[in-house]
Amino acid sequence: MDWKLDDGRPIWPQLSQQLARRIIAGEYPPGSRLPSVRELAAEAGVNPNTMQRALAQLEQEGLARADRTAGRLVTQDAAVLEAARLREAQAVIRSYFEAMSALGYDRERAVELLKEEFQ
Amino acid sequence: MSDFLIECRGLYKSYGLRPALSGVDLEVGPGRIVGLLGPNGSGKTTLIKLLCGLLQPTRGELAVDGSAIGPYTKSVISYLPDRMYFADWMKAVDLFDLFRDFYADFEYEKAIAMCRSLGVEPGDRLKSMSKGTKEKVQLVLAMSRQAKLYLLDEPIAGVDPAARDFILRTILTNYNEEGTVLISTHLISDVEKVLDEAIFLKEGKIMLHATVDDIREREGKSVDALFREIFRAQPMEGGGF
Amino acid sequence: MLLKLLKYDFRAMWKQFSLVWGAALALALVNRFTVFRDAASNVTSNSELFMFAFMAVIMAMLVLAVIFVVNRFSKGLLGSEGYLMHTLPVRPWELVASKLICGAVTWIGCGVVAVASVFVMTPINWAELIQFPFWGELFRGIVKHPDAIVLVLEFCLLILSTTVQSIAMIYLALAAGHLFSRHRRLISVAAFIGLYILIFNIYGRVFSVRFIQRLMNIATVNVYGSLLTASAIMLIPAAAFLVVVCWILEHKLNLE
Repeated sequence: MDWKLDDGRPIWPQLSQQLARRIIAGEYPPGSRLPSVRELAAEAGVNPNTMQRALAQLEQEGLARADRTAGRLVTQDAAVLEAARLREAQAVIRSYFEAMSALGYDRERAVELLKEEFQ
Repeated sequence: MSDFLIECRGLYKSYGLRPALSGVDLEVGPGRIVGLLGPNGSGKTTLIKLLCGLLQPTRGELAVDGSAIGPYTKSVISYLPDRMYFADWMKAVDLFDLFRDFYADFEYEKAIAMCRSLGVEPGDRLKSMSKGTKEKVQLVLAMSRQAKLYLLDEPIAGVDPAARDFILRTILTNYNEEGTVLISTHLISDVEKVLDEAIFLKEGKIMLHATVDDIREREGKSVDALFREIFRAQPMEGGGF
Repeated sequence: MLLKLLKYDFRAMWKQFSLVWGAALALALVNRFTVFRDAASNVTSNSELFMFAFMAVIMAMLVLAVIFVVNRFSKGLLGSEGYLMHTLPVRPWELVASKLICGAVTWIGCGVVAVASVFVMTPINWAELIQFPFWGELFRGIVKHPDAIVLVLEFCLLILSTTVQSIAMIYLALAAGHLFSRHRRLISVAAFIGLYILIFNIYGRVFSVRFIQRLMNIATVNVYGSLLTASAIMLIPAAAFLVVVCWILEHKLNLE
């Protein structure tokens, strides 16, 4: 997965969101070691301080924890992972409704269209 | 002693009658990457040259790591100039020898390895190298030091966008993390992601000095967009006809 | 740090002059076998051509020596190479001293090569000369009058002082040109001519006929003193010039 950064928003929340998605998607499996700040920063082409801040946010959310020997580890707590997955899913749904409302569909109509898509 | 790596007070520099910097007050701390942003002729290069001692201020005070500009500050500053500075008969390795002799923080093996990774043969004569290759050699020289302050003057001007990424990555992966990197450029969208702080220079004055996150949060737009707005504001300025 | 600077200055000098010096000596050696044989035997080989080539190389060497001193300072410290030299953690006086020492050695080296090539060219039978009792005499003479060595050393000092003074004058002229933002070369040339006139005027005033006479009187009484005085006369303005050059580099450097 590539790093995508939009203008108009601070960079670190975008990084931390994308890291969270990688964890939820299993790209960084539970209990595995995250790449170092420097590696991640170089990969995303961003400043290490910014990446540091994004990782600190992940720790705050409980998705990762600092380990004295192994750097940062992805959490093994299934409940935390599930909660994060749900948060992301809700964000996707919200953005679906926003996009649909921009096209002139109200919520009910948007839900109907979604159902039709499945049949 | 103060915690700032760069401190300027009322810095003023003129070439003849034309002021290049007029009253710059600036403080930059250690351990960050700072963009010195402004259009051509806004005083970026002048400020950098004052910091590395190639120019003398007309008025004002200037200190790097708490010292006035002199042999000590030069020993902790790694400077990438906006032009070629070496004699043609030398080889890249001759320059590495020179840097090893004069700078205690120069890492010779790192320089050789970085050269190879950039596709430059360190034993080649500089005379036989293309302009782009020579620029890479200068980049290697600057980034192979564990300096306290890196002054990079337009490191990505004049190269194609793919090479820009490559150069920025080289800078990001090789700088000393306790040190500060000051990058001057007018290509803001390319460097924005790597910056902690941005300094906007306009006609020799500092218009804005803030962290990139603050700018994005407060203005709701990228530093690049803000820059375009500020510097497009008065197209007829100074014309007066 | 000065030693490290000298290392790089001498390396650059050797790159340029090893070839010229080698060519001068080699051509002198060729001339030794062609010029005098032609004169003796009326058979023309290319002796004129070789002689011409030798003269040309010697001339080129002297011109190159002047250009070298000018360029090492103007390009090396005030041109784009100055970006490197002035960001090294050294004091400006060390940069100037390194260039000065290297320049003086180059000029003296060129003089030595010129004199040596004349010796090489003259068909002296060295084997004879070495056996010649002259050397024994010379040695005995020196033992008897050891001050002769002092005199020779003082003479060398005088040559060195003259060299240093000339180079210092060139440096000051170049540094003066650097103070201006335009027409730097023109101003440098004008400054050099101005300095030249100034120095000779000062020498002319200070060393009036009476002073010269007094100097000559010293010379008859104390020949050592007169040579040292002459060296001092060269070195005092040289020192003043160099102080100004260092001051300009320290406080007025303007690499645009």
